[in-house]
Amino acid sequence: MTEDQALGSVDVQAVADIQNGNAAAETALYERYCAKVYYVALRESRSPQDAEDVRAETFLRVLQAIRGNQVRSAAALPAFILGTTRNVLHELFSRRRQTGKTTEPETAGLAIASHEKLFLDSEVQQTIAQIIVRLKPRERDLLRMHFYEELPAEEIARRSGIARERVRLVKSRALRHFRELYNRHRATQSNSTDTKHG
Amino acid sequence: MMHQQIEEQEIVERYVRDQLAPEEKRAFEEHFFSCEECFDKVQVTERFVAGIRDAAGRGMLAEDTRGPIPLRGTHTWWMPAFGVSACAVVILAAITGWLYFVQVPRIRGQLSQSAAELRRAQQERAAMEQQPQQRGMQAGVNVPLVMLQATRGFRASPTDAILPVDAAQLVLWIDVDSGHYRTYRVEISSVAGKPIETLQHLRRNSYHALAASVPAEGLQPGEFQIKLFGEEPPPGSLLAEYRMRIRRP
Repeated sequence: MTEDQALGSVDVQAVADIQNGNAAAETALYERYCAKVYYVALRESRSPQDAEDVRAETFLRVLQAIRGNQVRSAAALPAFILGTTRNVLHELFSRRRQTGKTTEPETAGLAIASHEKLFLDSEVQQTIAQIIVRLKPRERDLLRMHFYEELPAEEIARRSGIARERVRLVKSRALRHFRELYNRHRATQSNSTDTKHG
Repeated sequence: MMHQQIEEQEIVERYVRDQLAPEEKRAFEEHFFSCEECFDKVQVTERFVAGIRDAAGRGMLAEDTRGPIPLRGTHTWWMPAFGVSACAVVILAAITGWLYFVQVPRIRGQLSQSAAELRRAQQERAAMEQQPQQRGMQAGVNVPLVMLQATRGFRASPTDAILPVDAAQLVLWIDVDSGHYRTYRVEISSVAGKPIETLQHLRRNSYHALAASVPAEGLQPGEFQIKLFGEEPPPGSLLAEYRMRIRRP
């Protein structure tokens, strides 16, 4: 059984449990999808407050739909939750347009995702600094040209004098180092937090 | 959407950087809503991209930032310092080796040679000093001395020498012209030709003369014939003849 299939069977069971009035199943469903809903909402709305509102509204509607037996396929529950999230976001953008607060990111055609600052904290900065120290000067140039200057791969390869495949290799290796160090940071912090609270 | 496609097309990074077409974006969102692994990749990539862009914005990825980054900075000062130190050690070792294996043996050889020369010079000096001392000692006890004059024939009068009764030695003083002989021989015989004394290996003193000491006991009152021969280098030859007459007071 694949992961998707396993998740699908869990969702089928969850839908059945919720329809039978099981409150714990509702909590489990929320915990399984709340991060994803919040992430999509945050990316689109670029506002933590709006993202929280979207998440709350989305789960309210999803649970109501499940309880009212309005979900056509329990196995397609992830797609149903995502669709509901998008609907809530559209309503949010409609309200914003009416009040003149802002425009939708997609319609605005912003090249740079301003939501990225929401993912930037001291842990991330610290981890990135550690990675940069390990990099060779040419690799630093490469990352700068790719992620900051957003040059095409051909131009990066031409300027740095390395093959396109090498550009991809450097990126993936830097990302892998980041993942390892960042997870280590988080694990250390989590342990220290547990110790304090314990 | 399959994981292979996601990997090959770098869907995660492109999604994070808003570079997917709307259809691709929706498809991928549907995928990671049911895929924990891809959702985790998206979260990590979001942070990575945000961090890299932030670092680049702060100049940490600029071409001339190799110096200010602490660890790289420490490398830049100690690597050349280490290189210079290593070179200095190698040069010092080479100089030490050259001194130890070339110069020291040479100086040691020169020293031993000088010591040998010094010993030889000391020996020569001691030998030279010995002769004047002997002369001094002889003079000190009032040894009788006779200065011989070369004879031109039997009719010439002999040189008289008064030999005291208690004298043990008689010194013959013979002037010698500077020739090519280093050593000389003196033969003393009676007028009848009986050999009395032969003195060999005599060397000229600083007065260009030979001072030969002859035991007095063999010199009874009477006339004697003395021949001077050149000895070294050979061949030896007769240089002069003398006549001497001994008297007793």
